Amino acid sequence: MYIQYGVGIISIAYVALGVLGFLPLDWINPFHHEGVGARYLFNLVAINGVHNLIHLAIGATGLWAMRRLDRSQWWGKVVGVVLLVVFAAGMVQAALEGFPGDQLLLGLVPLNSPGHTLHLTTSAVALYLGFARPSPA
Amino acid sequence: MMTYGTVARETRFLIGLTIAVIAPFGFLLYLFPSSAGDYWAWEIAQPRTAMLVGSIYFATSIYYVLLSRQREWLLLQSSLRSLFVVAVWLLVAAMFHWQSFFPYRLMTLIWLITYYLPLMSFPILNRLQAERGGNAEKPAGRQIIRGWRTWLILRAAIYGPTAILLFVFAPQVSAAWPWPIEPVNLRMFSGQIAVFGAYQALAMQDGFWQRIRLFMLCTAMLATAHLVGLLLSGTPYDSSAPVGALLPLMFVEWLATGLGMLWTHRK
Repeated sequence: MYIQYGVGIISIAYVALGVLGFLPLDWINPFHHEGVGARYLFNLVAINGVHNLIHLAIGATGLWAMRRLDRSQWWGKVVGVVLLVVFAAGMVQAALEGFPGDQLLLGLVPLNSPGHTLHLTTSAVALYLGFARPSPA
Repeated sequence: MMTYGTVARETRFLIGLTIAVIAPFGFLLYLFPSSAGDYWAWEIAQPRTAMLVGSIYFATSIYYVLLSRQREWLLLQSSLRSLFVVAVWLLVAAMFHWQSFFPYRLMTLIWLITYYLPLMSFPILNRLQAERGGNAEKPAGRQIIRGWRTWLILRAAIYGPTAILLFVFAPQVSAAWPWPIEPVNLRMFSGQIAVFGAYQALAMQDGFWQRIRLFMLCTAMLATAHLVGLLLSGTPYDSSAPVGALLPLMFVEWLATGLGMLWTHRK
């Protein structure tokens, strides 16, 4: 079923992002001293330990949910809405702070524009999977 | 008979979205290259560089309009795979050059989403199409002529390593380029060489001509856009530079291969 498969694909990607984010290797996660002072995963997405744990949680719950269609669709809806809220909150905060290179959401989670767009894109795909019509059995 | 399943609504939506995004990219970069520094996602100093980068969006927006009119998944599959390859290539290039980007320009946000989306959605669409395709039959119809197949493989053997070397040694190659160009733009451009020089050899798969017919048309359109860009942009062109003669030669080859394949497979 493509819905469960899709949830699996996103989940594996997020587990990988979470694990790679913890690797203190400058060629994968160079530290950016400017701004809030955070590592950038693949030199793009601002991360820290909390952010990595959130990525891991999204991935792990998805891997659990993908075994059943109803769970997969619930996962899609919940993750889609949560990431949409995170995107909106992040963009509002960025606008209020004058669009800095990066920012700390709630003083905890570093974010930047590659992160915002990743959250928005994942949200759109997750919501699609949450509301999509399953293929006939 | 050619049934690999019809194109799903979701696939059409992705194609429509792609057109809506890349058409303005192409329109701006190709027709207003002098002011690219004011609106584009990353630094582009020279108008000719803007046209070099913009040609791909300009040509592929027409190509995707043609794709959107197709009903058979078979005719789209290779093209969407190429979008996946381009997305990976350009995002890796962005990783090397994030400092050259303007992080909160609208173009940057849209550009990032444009390449994140195929990465996430293509595997899902591929699966969805396979599930809805039902008992798909193997395609029947005109096969690619053996000589052209050999030629596509041969040029892939040349362009594939060229694209990788250009990506890796972009700072060094920029010194040999016929006009002043930033390494970020060379790395982005190397993605075009990978897809329009090398990828076709993979895209032809079982040798069914319809798989790559529109792709070859796009190759010819892109080459034309590049050649016009080289002629019309106001940036001085140093033809004595090491890459000075190779670049137009490559675009002429793309044009000749595209038109040649379309002509010889026309019936």
